[in-house]
Amino acid sequence: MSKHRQRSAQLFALIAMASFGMLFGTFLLSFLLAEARNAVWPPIGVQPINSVYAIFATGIIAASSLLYWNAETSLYAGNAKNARWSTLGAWLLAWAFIASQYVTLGGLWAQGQSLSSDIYSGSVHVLIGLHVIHLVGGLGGLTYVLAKLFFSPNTLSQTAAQIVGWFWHFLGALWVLIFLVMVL
Amino acid sequence: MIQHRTNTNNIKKSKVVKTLLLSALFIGGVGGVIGLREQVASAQTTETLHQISKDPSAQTHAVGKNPENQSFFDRYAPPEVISSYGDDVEWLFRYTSWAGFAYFLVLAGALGWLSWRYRDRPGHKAHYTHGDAKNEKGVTLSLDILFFLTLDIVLVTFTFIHAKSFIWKLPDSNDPKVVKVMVMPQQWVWNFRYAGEDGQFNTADDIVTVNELVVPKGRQVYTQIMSRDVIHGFFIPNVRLQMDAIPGVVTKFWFDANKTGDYEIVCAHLCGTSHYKMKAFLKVLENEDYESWYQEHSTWAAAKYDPEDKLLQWGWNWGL
Amino acid sequence: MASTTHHSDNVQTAHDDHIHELPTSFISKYIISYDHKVIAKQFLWFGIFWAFIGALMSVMIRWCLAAPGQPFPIIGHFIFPHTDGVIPPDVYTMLFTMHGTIMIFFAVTPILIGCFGNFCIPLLIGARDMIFPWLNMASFWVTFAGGVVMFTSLFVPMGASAVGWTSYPTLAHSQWSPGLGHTLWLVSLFLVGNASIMGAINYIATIIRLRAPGMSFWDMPLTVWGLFLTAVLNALFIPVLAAGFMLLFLDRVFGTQFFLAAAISQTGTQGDPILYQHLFWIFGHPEVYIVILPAWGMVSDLLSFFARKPAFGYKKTALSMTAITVLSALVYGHHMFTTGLSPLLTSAFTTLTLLISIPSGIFFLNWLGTIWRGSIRFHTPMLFALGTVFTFGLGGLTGLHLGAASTNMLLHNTYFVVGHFHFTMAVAALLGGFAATYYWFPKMFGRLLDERMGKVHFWFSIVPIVFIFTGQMVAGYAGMHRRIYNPYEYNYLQDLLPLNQYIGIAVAIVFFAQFLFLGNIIYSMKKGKVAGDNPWEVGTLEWTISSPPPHYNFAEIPVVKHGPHEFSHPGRSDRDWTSQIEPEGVLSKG
Repeated sequence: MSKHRQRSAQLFALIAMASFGMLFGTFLLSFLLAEARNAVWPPIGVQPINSVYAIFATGIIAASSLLYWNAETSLYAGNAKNARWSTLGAWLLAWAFIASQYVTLGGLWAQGQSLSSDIYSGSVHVLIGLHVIHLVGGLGGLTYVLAKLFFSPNTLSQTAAQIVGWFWHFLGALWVLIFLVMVL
Repeated sequence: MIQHRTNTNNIKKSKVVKTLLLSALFIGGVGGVIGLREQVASAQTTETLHQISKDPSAQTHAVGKNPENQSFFDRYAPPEVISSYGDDVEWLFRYTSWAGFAYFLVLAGALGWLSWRYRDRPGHKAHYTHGDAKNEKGVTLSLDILFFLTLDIVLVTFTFIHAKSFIWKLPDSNDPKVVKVMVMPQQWVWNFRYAGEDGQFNTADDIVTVNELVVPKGRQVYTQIMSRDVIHGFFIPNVRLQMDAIPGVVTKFWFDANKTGDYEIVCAHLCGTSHYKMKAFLKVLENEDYESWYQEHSTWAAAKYDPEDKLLQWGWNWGL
Repeated sequence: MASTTHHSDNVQTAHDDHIHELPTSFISKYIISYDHKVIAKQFLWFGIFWAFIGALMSVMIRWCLAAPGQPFPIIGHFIFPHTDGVIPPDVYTMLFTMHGTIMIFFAVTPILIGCFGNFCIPLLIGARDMIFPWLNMASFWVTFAGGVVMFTSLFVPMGASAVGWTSYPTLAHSQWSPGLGHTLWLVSLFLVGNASIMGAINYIATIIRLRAPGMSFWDMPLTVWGLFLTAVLNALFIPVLAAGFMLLFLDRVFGTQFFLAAAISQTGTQGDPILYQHLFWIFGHPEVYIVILPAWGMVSDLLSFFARKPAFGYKKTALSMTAITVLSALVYGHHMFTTGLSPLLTSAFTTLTLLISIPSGIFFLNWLGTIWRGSIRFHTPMLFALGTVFTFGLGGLTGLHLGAASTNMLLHNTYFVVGHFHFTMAVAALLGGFAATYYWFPKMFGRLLDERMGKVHFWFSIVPIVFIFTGQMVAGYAGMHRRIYNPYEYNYLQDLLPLNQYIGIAVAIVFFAQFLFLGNIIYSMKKGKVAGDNPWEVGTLEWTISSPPPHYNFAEIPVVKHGPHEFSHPGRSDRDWTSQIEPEGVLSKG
């Protein structure tokens, strides 16, 4: 890919991430304001999310990002084998993350809390849900890179791998923010 | 390429004639429109208003201005100020309007004069400059500073003064002279609650009225406002300020009235289909009249109090 | 990286050999097109269609105020058979809601940003197309889909959205606004918003990456500056609106209580209707700048072009527009002064709002400086550009009343606000749009719009328009609040009937004058005077190629040698304009 296409793709990614950042920033702000406004939070009778699950999820996604970073470094160094397996690891961990989110929300559902039961549960559902939806997009990118690495590595551009990585790390960083806002 | 006509005296004259003709046409047109409208309107107005204003209370509470023999300014002036701070707000509005209008005249004048003076004509060339010369920058900067000082600074200063001296200066709830009223608008009426003779809200002797806010002349009226359903806007034009009514959130607002009479209260925030006729009346009484009204109604309310009447039991903790 | 090219990072040379084939089928030429010029026209027709619907709605609104209780002429009996042609109050609430929504999101935005952004950016910066043509195509069709959803919402059983274009909870909740109308409204705007973000990404990346060699940011026409800053605001603040709309959608459809307060929610936890207002206006105030920045940029250029003089204080104008862009989100609270904001917030927002008037003052003076000592040619685009300056000045000055909290609490939700925002957001943007159309129509279609009809269109638009909205401000000061079906319910407003009648007449005049414009377009597209490459004798890059341009725009990517406003240079005696691609030596004496 020419340097021009590379720079253009990077610019696209940066602006898109700025937009997504504003989106999530708004939801995080709303959550914080709801928390500030209610003396008791979560409200009486409402259970908070299980912070162990949340910490676990954070660990999973951090590991996933690390693995993908490792994959990228290997790719640039020419170590295709390491790149393949690291990407696979990151990909599997992505699925694990999605599963962990399902478990976290499941913990709320088991107590009769849902999107519409109260404002705390609603906010948690929105934050986690919207993040997972965007994560699925990121997963699509990971799948693309994975498939290329395994089946036609010579057609994978470094820029594509880089941008998928940026987006993936961005989603991870967003999750850390969401985690901090929800749990602290 | 756009053709530019070369100048001859004939063309110059035809331009002047054209302009004059067009202006005459324009003025004639405007005059015609006005004349026509006046013809139609004078016949139609009374009829129309009689038809559309079916609200009987509109007849008994005649608060409009006398429509006969009104000057333009009388007709389109806002209703008279009855609050002690209304004139301050009016002053700031008028200052901003006059100063703004002055700047606008300068702008319009400049546009007009510059357009005429520097119009393209044979033998006339434009002056090449990017506006970076020292004197050019100096002029624009000075004009900016002038604008800032005469408008922005004045507005900010007076807003702060107004805010401190009346907008945020809420009355003392413990002062017996202050009239405390809870205002609860709902789709599409205004509910008002007074504490009654015991001075406590949410007791049997509370006076609850619908669409009628009775207040004494010259005393501060301290309102706490909350909506029952959607956002409404508590606005008494004669008072000159307004405050929103929000469901679940209490907003605070005070005013006073220095003239007896009946004044209209409007809903200034879209609240549904009948938003346009969500009208209440402010009745300002002399102090003795108010006191006897208050006593009479509080006694009556206590006697008639029905604990089963759920609709009546609205209210919140007045607090401070 | 792996690239081994020896080009400088000159993206244009990398693109030199990229001339795409001319599309051949009807579908690929006019429907699914990747050509920014075709997409621009798609946005133009889309915008004009919706502008007509929005304008018709405004005529109906003013009819109610001018002739209360009377059947709407001609089409009244067809649309409202059950009330003998009289517009009922509930329909009135739908009318002003949809009028605002349509004009902002389906008329002004598609025309100024979708059409002229798309058409002008590549041509003015010397590029062959937008940097992401597929994304460009998608942004039109997603907008179109949003239009289909909004159109559908007009015909659902319980009627279209009727809660005001600002869609405040709790009125916007299902309990008080049941039915599909407002839900579809939210879906439609979500789609349109996404399309705007897609367009914004395209515009920003194109301007950063595809400027012709030699064109620095300071050599760009100010039109491009305006479009660039608009795109930045779109990319950053539409997501905030999307968030607010998503939460409201969840409240309506899934029973959440994000914007419902404890007193009326079922679960005792406290949502907040005011949170919505914060989210909405954090978007909403930048939105008004989104709408006007393209017009500001275009006016800055047009004044220079038709006064045959460089733009006065180019850099200061560009920087002022940038300053306003940066400050735009910080002033939003002036829409909320009556909601019981804390004293600190009230003071902060008043101060910031008044401060943001300073940069506008700077480029206003620069506009006057541009025509000062010029040689002004009063072609139709120039008339409209001057009209924009005039009306934005009028509107902007009335913003001061509304920026100060004290006078705001008097004028909030009165017709004073309506007059103010129409002047600044509607009239100035609209006149800017007309200026742009008259100016770039020859480049788009190869033919000029008729000058005489254009001038008639101008005068028959601007005079009644100024009357209409000045009249509305008079009504607002007299105490007439907004969004009311029948002001004459109130005794103190009964004297305003004549004023509303005059405004109604002016509205009719303006409405019918626009058919002159439409007729001009339809006629001139095929039968107008042939334009040639450069009818306006202007030096920007789009005028160096044919009208209309070939599908690839530039056969060779131009190399820029001058800024866009080199008019009447003393070092040049043969003509009063210089193309951006002419050699430097052409400006030296002798």
